[in-house]
Amino acid sequence: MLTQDDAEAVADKLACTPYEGRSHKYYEFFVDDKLIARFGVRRASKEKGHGHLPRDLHITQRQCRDLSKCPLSKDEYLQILREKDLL
Amino acid sequence: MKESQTVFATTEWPYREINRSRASDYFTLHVAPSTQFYQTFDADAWDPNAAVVIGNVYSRMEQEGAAAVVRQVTSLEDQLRAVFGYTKRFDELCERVAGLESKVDQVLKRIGDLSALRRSFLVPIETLEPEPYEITRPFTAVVIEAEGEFEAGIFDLSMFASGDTEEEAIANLKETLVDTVDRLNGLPDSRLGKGPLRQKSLLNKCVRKVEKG
Repeated sequence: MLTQDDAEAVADKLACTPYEGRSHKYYEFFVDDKLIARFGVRRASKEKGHGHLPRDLHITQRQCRDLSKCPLSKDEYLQILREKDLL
Repeated sequence: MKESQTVFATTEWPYREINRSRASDYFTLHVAPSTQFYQTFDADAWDPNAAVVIGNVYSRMEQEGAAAVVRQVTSLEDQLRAVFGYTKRFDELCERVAGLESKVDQVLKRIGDLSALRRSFLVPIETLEPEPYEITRPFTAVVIEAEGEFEAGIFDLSMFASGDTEEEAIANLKETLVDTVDRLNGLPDSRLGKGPLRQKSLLNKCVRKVEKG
């Protein structure tokens, strides 16, 4: 299960910009000053699930885990987005 | 010089095999394995006829008072037969158990597969109250249960959220939706990538902010 720690690890790796919503905190991923992806973080226990993360980032659950736990680099993530014509 | 050869072997006779050894000028018959009886023949007296050899050995054993041993060996033979019988049945049972285990594994795998299936259902989104937004084009959220949590999503709008319950997931989805409308409308199109730009366009077709007063 993807957790808040995973979400924050991804935010760190992608150098996302935090954005405060009504009751959620969001991280926004900009490339060349353009918003490419954004995902919310639940304000609660760090154990809460963040299963929506992969879809928000346009990647699979496994890729999301890899992004969080290191094997997938930011450049590789950008390449995935390019292949999906999202960049 | 010694040479040895097996000259007789049978499953019927209590003595499994008889080895013929040659040591210079005589032969030794070794009745193996359990009786430990030997009979020595002069080399010239060797009778290649196995029945005669066995008969000689048997007679010698009886002469030596080995009847008890013979009975014991016979009894052992019977026990072995019984064991082999049980073994056969045991093998059959093992085979059947292995078959059953395989079938149980298949059933358990199937149960696992069914458990792993992500339960999903649809929830129509008709209002965003109390937020000052109205839905101009109703849409449906898909709620998926996975790994002990619920994920709610509106695929057309690329909008997703999670929750511990279905209700929480839907509530989080609505909040995310409203936050996203606010945020994307607060950014000029020139700062939106392809995905967010498309999302903004779709959101504005489905959701409209209600001005107070």
